[in-house]
Amino acid sequence: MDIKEYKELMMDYVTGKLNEEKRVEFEHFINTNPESLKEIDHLRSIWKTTDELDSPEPSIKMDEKFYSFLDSERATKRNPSIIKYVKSLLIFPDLNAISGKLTYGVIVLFIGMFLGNKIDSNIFNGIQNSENHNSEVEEVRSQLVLALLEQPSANKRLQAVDEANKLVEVEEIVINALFKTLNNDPNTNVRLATVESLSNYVNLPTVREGLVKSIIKQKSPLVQIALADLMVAIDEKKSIDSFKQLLNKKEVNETAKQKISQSIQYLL
Amino acid sequence: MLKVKSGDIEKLGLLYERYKKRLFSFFFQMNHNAAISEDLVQNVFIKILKYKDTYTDERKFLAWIFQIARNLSYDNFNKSKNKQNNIDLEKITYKIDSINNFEEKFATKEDVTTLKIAMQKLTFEEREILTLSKLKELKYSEIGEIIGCSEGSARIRAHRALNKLKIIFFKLEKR
Repeated sequence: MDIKEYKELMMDYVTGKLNEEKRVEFEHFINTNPESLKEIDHLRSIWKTTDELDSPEPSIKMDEKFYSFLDSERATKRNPSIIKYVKSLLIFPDLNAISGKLTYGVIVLFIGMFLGNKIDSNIFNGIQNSENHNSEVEEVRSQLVLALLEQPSANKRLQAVDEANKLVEVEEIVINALFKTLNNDPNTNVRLATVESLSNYVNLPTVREGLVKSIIKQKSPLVQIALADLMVAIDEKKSIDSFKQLLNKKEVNETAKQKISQSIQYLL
Repeated sequence: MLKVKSGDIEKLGLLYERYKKRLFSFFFQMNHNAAISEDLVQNVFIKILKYKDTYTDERKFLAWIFQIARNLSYDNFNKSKNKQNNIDLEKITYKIDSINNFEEKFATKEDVTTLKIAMQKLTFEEREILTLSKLKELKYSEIGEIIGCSEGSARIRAHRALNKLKIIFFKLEKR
């Protein structure tokens, strides 16, 4: 490496854009050139400090605005204006050249073709496309759930759980995020809503197992009671041991203990 | 992005989730206004839909999206007509070489605050190239494409901007 190449690559090196091979070559050069090493050290130090120039997190309003924009775009795409189609036919460039009755004939023909095509696509293609469309909506909704669950506002996290309830087929990553919320969220209402949301997926063994494991982690009597009701409803006998452990805890509320005891009786 | 281009606009949601933080951070570093930055992020995705047909798979998506972001940021800058505290470097007599304990200088919170002020004293273009240089995935050839100059010129501009930042920082520190 010569000084010219060193000058060319110095910013790539400082900003971490050099590949491994070039980086080794560059470091060899600066280590044998004290002046260059000093120069690079100076640049690297200030560059490193610019990492501290952090930005705040964007607010949830940004997500809301984006998804409402996406919804409106989706709606527009799904329902294209018939008037626009007709207009687009009417401005067919050669139409003005065609006179009188022929013009109307062409218009009627085009409208007929359009409507025929439209009905055909609505009936046949529509059915075919709806399946793909639904899976995309599910994917975007899953992303929204994950984003909202990370929000500091409890209302937003509740909104996330509400969105999760709308999912038809839930992904594992969403299930994991819901369990993380159930076991760690500081807000009781959010945890309660999460129990309800997860109850939609009790047909999945992993969800049943996760709910059982979660029993012992709950400190709020409301959540403990909600889980007890759910375990009875799904007849999950594996939960008995967890409930027994909970009964042995001194800090568990008396009303919750009564409810848990009743639930154990039902499950036995 | 190619799926969005072919009319599958649902995929825009995935692109949004993937790039929203980087875009917001870019705008925020440029204007220091969270509300405006959020609006600009939204505008990026409106533009993506509007100009989706101009995208080709030969282009790196990150470079393309940041070219849109850069143009929006520039328009916003022109609209707001923020007062720029451009510093005439020739008037700065402070010699950087006289600092012996350079690395130790960049250690405290006060230094970070000073650096923030120093960043704001750079011109829009200087701040822009340094902010874009932060994106490791972007090569200088792509940064050049975004800001409309050659690869070599992008490197030189970045180097000059960083040097200027360094000088302003030490001038502020000395006060």
